[in-house]
Amino acid sequence: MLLCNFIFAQTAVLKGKVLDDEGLPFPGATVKIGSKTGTVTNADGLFELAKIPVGKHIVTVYALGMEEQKHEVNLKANEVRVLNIRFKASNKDLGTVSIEGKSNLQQVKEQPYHVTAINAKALHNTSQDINQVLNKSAGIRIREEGGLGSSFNFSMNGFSGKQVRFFLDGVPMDNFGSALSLNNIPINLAERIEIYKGVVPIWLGADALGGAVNIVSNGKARDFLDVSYSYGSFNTHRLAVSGAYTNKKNGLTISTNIFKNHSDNNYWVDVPITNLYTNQVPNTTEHVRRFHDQYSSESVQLEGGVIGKKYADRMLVGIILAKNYKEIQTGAQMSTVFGSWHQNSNTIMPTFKYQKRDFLIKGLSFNAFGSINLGATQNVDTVARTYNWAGESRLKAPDSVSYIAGGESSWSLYKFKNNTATATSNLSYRIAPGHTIGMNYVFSNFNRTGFDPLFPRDSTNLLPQVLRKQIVGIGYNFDFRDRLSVSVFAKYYHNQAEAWARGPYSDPSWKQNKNSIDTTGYGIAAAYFIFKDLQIKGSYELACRMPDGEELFGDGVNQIANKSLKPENSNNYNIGFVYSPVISTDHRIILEANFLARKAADFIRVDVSGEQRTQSVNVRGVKNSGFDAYVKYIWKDRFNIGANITYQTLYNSTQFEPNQFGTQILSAVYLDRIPNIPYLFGNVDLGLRISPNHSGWGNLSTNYNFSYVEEFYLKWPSLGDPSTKSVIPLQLSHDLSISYSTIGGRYNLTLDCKNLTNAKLYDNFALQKAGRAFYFKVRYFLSNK
Amino acid sequence: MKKRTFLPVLLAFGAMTTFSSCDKKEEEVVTVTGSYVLAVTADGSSSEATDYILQSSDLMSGEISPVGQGIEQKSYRMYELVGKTLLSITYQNPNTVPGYVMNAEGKLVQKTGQFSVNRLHARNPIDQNTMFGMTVPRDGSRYATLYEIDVNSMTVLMQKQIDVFEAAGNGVEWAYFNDIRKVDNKIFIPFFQIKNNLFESAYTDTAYIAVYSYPDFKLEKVMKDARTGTLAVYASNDAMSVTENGDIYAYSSTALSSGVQPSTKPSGILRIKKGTTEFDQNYFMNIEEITGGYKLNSIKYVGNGKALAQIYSFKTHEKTDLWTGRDCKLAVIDFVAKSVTYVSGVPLHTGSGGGLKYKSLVEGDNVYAQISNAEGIYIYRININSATGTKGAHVQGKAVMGMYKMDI
Repeated sequence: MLLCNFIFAQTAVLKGKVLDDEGLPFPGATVKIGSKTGTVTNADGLFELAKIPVGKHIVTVYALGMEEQKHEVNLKANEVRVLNIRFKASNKDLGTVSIEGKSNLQQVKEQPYHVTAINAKALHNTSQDINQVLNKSAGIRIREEGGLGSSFNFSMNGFSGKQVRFFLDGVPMDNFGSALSLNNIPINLAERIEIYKGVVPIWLGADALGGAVNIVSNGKARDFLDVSYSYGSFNTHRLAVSGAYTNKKNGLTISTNIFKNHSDNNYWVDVPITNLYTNQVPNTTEHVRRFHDQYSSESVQLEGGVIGKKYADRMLVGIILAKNYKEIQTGAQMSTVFGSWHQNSNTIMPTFKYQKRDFLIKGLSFNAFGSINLGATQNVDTVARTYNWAGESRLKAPDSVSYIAGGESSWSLYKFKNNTATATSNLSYRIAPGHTIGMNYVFSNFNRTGFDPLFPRDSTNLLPQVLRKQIVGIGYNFDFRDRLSVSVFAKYYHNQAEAWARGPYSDPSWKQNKNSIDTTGYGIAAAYFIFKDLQIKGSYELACRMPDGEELFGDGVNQIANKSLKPENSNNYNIGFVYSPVISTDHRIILEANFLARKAADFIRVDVSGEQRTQSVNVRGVKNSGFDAYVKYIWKDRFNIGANITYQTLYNSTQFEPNQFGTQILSAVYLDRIPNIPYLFGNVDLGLRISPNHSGWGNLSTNYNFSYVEEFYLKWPSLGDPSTKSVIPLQLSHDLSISYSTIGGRYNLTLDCKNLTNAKLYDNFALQKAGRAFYFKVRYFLSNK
Repeated sequence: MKKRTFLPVLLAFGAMTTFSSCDKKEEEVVTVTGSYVLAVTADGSSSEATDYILQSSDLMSGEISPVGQGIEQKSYRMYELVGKTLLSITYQNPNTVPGYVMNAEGKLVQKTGQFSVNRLHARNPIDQNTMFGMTVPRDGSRYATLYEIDVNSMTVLMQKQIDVFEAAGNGVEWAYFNDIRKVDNKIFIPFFQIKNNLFESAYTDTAYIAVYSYPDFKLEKVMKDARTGTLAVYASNDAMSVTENGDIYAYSSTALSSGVQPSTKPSGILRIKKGTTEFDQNYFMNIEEITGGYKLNSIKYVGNGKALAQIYSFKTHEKTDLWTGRDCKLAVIDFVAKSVTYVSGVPLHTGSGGGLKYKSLVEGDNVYAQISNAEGIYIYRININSATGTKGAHVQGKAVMGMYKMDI
């Protein structure tokens, strides 16, 4: 094993493997003999205890989120006893943000990546969506425009928007539409969340520039029912039901995820109220509720099929049906108020999944996925009124007129479909022990059509815009004696786009434009255990992202085509370590630190051309260096405290920028920090379980989270007189939750308080966020293995 | 044995401390005063594109830069100087407008009070205290909103709804207003027509000015003239030059490069004599005939019947030239003598983004104008009498959005 052991007379060795409830290796579990001797399992779930006196011992194995296991062993002199232990999931670990650096990794090949896995199961009693959970993690900042369901911008190590890709069970989420998004998926749908920073493994096939997030749902074959409902401030309701049933005799399986969210989002804000007749904006603010920010979403996912057959380990067909209603309260700044404008969207998405190990030949694994989203989104802006923050409005017409056609922003009933089809497949083959090769292929087809009944003859809405994307990844994985793991991979991207365009002003000649782009990327990731409690990791990727349909061919309204747009790319470097020493069997520390560097070129950004038209262009290099670090201390399963911090120096590395004529002009903001991106932020979380384990009284636990974001400039730091500059101030917020659950975790009650101190919090530019809010959640969980 | 593994931990925290001590580059803060005020859009991508209102006492040398100086704006903006107040108006709907004045020390400061208006497509000052601004719909809504704004109280005195279909008068297309003036207690509003938000139109071969009563804004008549195309350019607000004797000269560009819909009519200048609401049928200055086939992009009235104009240096305007305003020359136009004199010493430059109206200022017989081309942005001083230009200060930024001379 990892360390040489000298075996003395009258002692024995106990070694073995700890597995989780699904039979996967469980790293980080504590294995104890008596009260003094103990160890922690390594990344592969292996442990070894030497120099154990002969005789009878009770071996206790425990870990966060798992039910404690006890085994009796009777050791003989010089014996090497192998003991394998399988955990059962427990729901004792309530409300505890348990970020186990490597403990949830699905497969050994993922090890060398700079990955953070969040154990979502431990959060199933809290009333959070996936965004709120991610936001507490190192290196990540999510900036929301408002309350539940509002638009958000996800940023990871300085990359944001389309540069970071999202997956649900390895399936790209950009095809799902807004009805199913990180801001409305309840945490109960997820089993864990994996965050890949900078370097993305090939089996997540996508063109991500800065990383990826993979949400792993409760998609395992076992029988369970999980029903939760929460109610809280701002008339917020969240219902989530998930369940699965498998007939062990014939292998037929069925599972479902259902959720329904609603919020009025009518939280208090402090704003000046514009007089609709003099248009005067007072110098003083008033304390008013948001009045047009309702959000409702519902989603049903049904999946059925067979498991454990000769022809397939799993073969499932399913459908996702979702619906979304969202009111729009403000523009980019709160001085713009809307009172009627809203959006409707739906998702109708059939899916197909296939998985087989030893496919055709032994050692070859194959899985495939296919889906098509037939849903649509509609923009409804049909009230020609001007609103203020008091909710008062005025018709955009003379006082003598009582109704006119028009909109608040722009008169519209535009409805569009993207008809996104996706097919992915993965092949992996084990050549020999420790050597694996893999291949991934992704095909996606985006075909936008739109129609506005208000402007039925507007031909720009009618002609399709098509984008076909293909990505092939190949990789090789090498593992050496559980100490060293190396992955090398290459990815090839191909984009083929077609769109119709014509000249300006009634030029009748519509022309079809075709354009294709090809590019390649590659990377390497390695991890090595220096000691059994210290692992170092390093990774590098030349990451690429292909421009999407809108960027290439415009949106038919204001964004104009740029057929010569190149893919954006970034050199991403990570180096880090995970240190988890055993101080004593009751006390554990996990320490992780990661240093990163990003050097991006041909960054795609939107440029303003002419009066109001925009165009995506390749400009600006961006460099980022920084670190994120995470430390956690755990005492038995009673108490834990953890903290993370992120610091990034993200600056503009473009010394010369082309002006509108293409001439390279010396930039005034060369080496300036990229504005409007938080650069120093952190979280502290604390969990405490009050009731004893087996007292018959169930468990009472409490969790506290503190979050900190340093102040930052909205605009380039070096420009303008500093006294006139817009600053997003330092923000501190506190969340607290208390949970009670019965033994076995069947019934659970949780009370959450968010923003305990009622602090003024902002996102984006001075968009005020909710003050103190309370949520109460009831959860019923039943499982049968 | 255990102690050794703490070493990397110490190293890590050490490195973090080192990282934290790096910080943004030093900022030089300079307080600059001066009666020239320039609103400059700074470098940066669109979401970062922001204006800084800068002061300068010398437009003819050195560099005008927003680094470490200038009043930061919330976005890129449009500007209007009304008397002694400079308004900074957003392109967004609706938003808050602040006003700036020179204080006793000659420093530009924000004045008390703000008001909210929508984006103003047509606008012009009425007098030292008030201005008109109009928001014109392009989504097929019936009414444009007209504001009469008072800069002393920083309020909207009057808000009127103007029927855009009524002025166009054909029931299919609507009027897109692009200038507004108060003339002898009547309101003159030139327009072109559109039938959708792509600015398509079948009515491109006539010049139109709607005449409204004041203050009740009843449409009295629409002046029409088929000798040239529609007047001026989208949101240019420079269609009409009002001379000292009260005559009005209105120009038509008809250049696709300026964003104007294609027309079969030549670029030219019409006249409305003082006291009349008719185009003077005895006057037409056919610019294409005089210059040998070139079209106007913009006009800035200077005085005594003379104006500085941007004229294209090429005759055929292709699709790809749309909105570019590329390769303009400067010329002095004498409305009465119907003469065009090209200005020497000024290179070819772009006339996009509002032409000369907001990108120049008049001081006696001189015009200071921003000249933007592949070389960058420079201020030129143009003497109207000699029709000569002199190169001045360099401007660091993407564009000059407003140029004004402001007094204490």
